[in-house]
Amino acid sequence: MSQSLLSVLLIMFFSIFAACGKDNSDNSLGVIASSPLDEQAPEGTFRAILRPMNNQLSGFLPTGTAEITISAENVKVQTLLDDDAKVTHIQKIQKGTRCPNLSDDLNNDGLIDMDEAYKASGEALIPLDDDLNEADLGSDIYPAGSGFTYTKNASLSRLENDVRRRTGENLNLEGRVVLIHGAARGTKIPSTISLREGLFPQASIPVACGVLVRSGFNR
Amino acid sequence: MRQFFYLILFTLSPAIMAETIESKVYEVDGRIIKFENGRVAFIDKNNTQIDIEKNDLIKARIDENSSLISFQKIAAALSLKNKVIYHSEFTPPLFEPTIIPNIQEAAAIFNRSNPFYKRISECTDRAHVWANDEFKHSGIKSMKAFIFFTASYINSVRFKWWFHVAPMYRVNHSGEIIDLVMDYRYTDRPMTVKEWSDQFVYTKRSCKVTTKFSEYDVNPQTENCYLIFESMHYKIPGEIHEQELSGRYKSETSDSEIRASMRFGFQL
Repeated sequence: MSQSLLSVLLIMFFSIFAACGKDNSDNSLGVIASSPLDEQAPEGTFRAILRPMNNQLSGFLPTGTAEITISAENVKVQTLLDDDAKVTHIQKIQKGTRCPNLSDDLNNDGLIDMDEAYKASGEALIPLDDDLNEADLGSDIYPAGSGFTYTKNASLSRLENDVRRRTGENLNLEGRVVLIHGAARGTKIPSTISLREGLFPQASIPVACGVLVRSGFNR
Repeated sequence: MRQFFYLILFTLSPAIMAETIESKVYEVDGRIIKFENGRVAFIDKNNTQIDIEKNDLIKARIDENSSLISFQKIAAALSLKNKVIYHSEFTPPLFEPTIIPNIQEAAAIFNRSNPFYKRISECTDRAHVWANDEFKHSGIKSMKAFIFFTASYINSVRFKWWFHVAPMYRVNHSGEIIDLVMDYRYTDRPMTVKEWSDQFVYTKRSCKVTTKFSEYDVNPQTENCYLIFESMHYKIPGEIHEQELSGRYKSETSDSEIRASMRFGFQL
């Protein structure tokens, strides 16, 4: 294996997995899930059913689940998504408490874009990227592929401190929204959609959403 | 070391990635292969000779556009007529769906749907289990809403399914009796039939309601979709077709059907 081939492969790898910018702004436009003073309940499992958004983007409707388990000092996050778009899927927990619906399409272009989704579901609280402990460590590396399973663990205290430092809120997961982005590269998207942080339209468009609820039973 | 880098290259190459469908072929409709599990595959124009016929059991590889890459016949499958279908009555059975007293109760039914379906599962199994679970839980009798997409619609938006099914409940909404579809995997609340069909029919055209499967099967492609409403006992389109062909109705759901749907559709 030559050095040049090695370099090409590494560049390919990072260009695919690190193609997206991060939004760390604290411009809270959405509904707040709870008072920032509310403490995170110490232990439990929170589960969201991820259901399709912007269905008309392709002939396939992405679905999945997000499950977050807090056990003592450990936070385990697992997201599963089944889609047919083999792209990087930006995924974040939002501050808000509801998924966007058609009434949130403020410019009436038939799509819920990133700005409209954030107005309905709140700004980003936690990027579910390569390192959950601190947003800055995750490097915007998000899962890629049509069907993916993402599993990460973090220190509860580090995650709580990081969330508090960046957003002024406590890590209270109950009722928060999980939002997943990313349509196939060739998807036709109107120029009316809003873009953030240099993302191209297909990468930014939300495709699945769910609300975290405390799971009644652990499996 | 070399194998490692080839593995990375393989992982990153979209052209190499493919999905596998293993199912019986319901029919080949022009350049669309309709599988019994609801999925479709598209035959490219360059492929002029594809030896796939109705009832073939095949393992097909499709690309991200659902175009057929390759296929393998697994074994000769039973024809629809030979398949064991639990039809028991020649006269239409008296089936009255329970009327749910209000929207709140309908929402409660939706929210207690079993959320632990398998990632790769069929809508027929999920709908059958959800409807049966509710019947066991509360005695509520529900319907099934089947939506069938025409070849012209499938082609126009490159849709990946030719049919879909979900439980449907009859609800008293402030004195008005309405039907609400409870499609727990794809929608976040009970929806009217039109709201539900709009999730899949991007033109927002209303689907034509029919009682005969043959009307969809031989349709002149002027519609986007058809709707058939049946009792909770119907699971797959073949049963609706069989009813039309034989005049026999399905009036019960067997325990073995439910066990099979649980096994295939849910994490036990």
